[in-house]
Amino acid sequence: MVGNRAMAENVMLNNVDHKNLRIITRRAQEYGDNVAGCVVFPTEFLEVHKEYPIYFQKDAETGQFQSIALFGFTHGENLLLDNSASGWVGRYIPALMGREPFLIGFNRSAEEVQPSKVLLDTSSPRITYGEEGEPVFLPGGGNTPFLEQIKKNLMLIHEGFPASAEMFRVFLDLDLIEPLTLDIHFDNGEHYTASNYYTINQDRLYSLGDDLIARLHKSGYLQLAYLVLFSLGNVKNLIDKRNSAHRASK
Amino acid sequence: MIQKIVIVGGGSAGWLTAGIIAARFQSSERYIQISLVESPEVSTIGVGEGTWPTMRTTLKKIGLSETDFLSCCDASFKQGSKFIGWRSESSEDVYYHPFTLPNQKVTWRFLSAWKRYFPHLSFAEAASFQSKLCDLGVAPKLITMAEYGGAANYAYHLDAGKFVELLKRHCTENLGVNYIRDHVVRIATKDNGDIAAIVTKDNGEIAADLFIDCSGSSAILLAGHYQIPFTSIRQYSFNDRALAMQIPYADDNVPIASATLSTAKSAGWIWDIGLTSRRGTGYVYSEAHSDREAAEREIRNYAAQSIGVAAAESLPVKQLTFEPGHRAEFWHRNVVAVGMAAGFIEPLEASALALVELSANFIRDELPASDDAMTVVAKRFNKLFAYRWQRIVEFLKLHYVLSGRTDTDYWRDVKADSAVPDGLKEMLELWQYRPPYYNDFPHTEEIFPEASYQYILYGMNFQPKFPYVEIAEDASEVLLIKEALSKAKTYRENLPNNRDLLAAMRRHGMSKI
Repeated sequence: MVGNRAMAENVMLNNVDHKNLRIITRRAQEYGDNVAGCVVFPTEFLEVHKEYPIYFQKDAETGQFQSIALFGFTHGENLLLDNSASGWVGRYIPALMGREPFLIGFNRSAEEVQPSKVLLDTSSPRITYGEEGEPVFLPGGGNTPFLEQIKKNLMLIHEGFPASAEMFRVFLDLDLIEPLTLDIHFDNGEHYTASNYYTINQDRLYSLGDDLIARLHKSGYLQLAYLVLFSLGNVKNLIDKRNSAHRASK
Repeated sequence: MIQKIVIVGGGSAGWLTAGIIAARFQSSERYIQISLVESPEVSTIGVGEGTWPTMRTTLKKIGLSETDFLSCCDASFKQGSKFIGWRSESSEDVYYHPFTLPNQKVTWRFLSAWKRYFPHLSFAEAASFQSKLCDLGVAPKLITMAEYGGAANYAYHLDAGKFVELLKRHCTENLGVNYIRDHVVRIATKDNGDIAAIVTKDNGEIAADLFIDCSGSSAILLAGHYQIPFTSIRQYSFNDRALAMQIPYADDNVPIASATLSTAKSAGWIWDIGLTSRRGTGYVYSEAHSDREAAEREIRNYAAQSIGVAAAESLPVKQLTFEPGHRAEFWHRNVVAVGMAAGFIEPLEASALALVELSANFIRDELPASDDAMTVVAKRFNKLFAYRWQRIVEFLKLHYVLSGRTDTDYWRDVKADSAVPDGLKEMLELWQYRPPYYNDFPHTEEIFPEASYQYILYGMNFQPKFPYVEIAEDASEVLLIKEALSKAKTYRENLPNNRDLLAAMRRHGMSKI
């Protein structure tokens, strides 16, 4: 769900060429933030679940499960964008969006693929060399706290893919995933249904034996299952936002 | 109390039967012990590579993942059969028998609407979206769909040898089936005539309460021991030879057909089953109307159309001989035959594996608790399967009787009055005045539903005597034909092609939900 601009050109980030580089962190449609959701990883569920509903969904190319934080209901609808300074009503931005416009560089010559360097997507509209935005490097060439945060996000994403695959393997093995149909009637009479989402099967979770529960708890997956369940109530916020947006536009 | 079951024979029939029964009783209060005895001296036939959609339920119940099944057996999706050259000799002459049922009841009004407003469409196109998907090599599902679920009804093409290996592994490792590799040398009987045990070369006596004869056409228990006679159906079903040939794909981009291709030839027809790894083809023909040399020429010419003459000439062919027919009784005393031991007919509608599933399901569901109950169950089994064989014979014959071909003796003889079963003649008479409908097929578990008869009958251009009726342009029959067409369009725009989906599934797997 994260927009990938065509013709992206990635260069290795360095404090010589990019000494004065600044990044516009404001969220807005012009930066490609008009997305109805974003892939999130188990390692950020603790933050994500407080603000957005987390649904499971299958990747259209691979059929593999992934977790999605929902921001809107129709293609391109992001109900969290606003006119504030940050451009975003939530407190937490998922790592996949928060890392923009940086990527992990891989050292391809090495036997094992390890993240080594940070790449900069030079086609990003967030890039500026003016007064606006967050500086990437300190005047002396060191990393700014902003860049450190970016690197944390990149690591989270890098580790997030295998962690996510493992989480789904565990959930599927225990038949803990079930399809979920979203069926919403908005105040303006619009009816929205979506049946491509999945979530944790609560009945199944409650019926697991003590041994399994203990194992799930120790491995951290029980907490993840509950975070997903707790997050579901957040869809109410999105519905409210959409209803008030419609009222305002009348 | 029936507790011990011994299956004799380890081909597709033996292992599929073992799996179907073992999976049911694995977590049941009733204790059933299943052993499968396979002779190291007898090799399996290894054809029978097309299934019915029932195989999806069967595999799911047995506890196999569809991902494992597809990748272990080089399997692909089959959405029906495509008949080429059955109405006339032209290779342009094609029609489909898809697995998805018509989207409306096939009534006289429907036939009238189809002929009046959509004369350019085939029957299958007017009644279902699926033939279009087959034509375009479109898969029946998306990778995001759960295992065994689909947007369109589907079955499989599979590598029979690899299928047996997978079933064997699953049965022995996960379902508790006891595997004995030994040769049966003698049968030990009880005083009442039941079989007490099979006596093997190395393992001695293996006793059981019920014996399932999956020993192939030799039927060593039912025919060998009990001398149950064979009912020949040669009068109706001429084909008794097959020349099988595995054809490699020219390259990795050749489309994998999502339907079994059945091409009519001078003395029979050629099956063509697309797997992910290769195509399995075979010319099934009548020995009385051709000879091996001429038949081999025909199948090599067929192969040459797709891979060129040089490659086609170099491929090995394997000849199979069979006698069309079935045992007069399938269940006798404490022996029941499944698979080729029960009977065999040309694989025109891939009924072989389906009959194994149906037989094993029956045995599983009715597994008699005692010897007394066994007599009743056997009687019912015999009656039901005699009916099913009759239905298969008639349905397969339907593919031939309406053909306009007269180019060879074979095509003249197959339509001769004496070669058409009376039951079929009667139905053809009725169908002059109304389409095939459920009253023609009164069983709850008919082997072929009325839709199958409709697809073949109207696919073969059957011309009823009764006049069509006047249908309004906005009649529901017309609208439903339009709906089938628009569904075909939506599906072909949204579903991946067969080869791409199979490749993606091998790479990523599918989820069970």
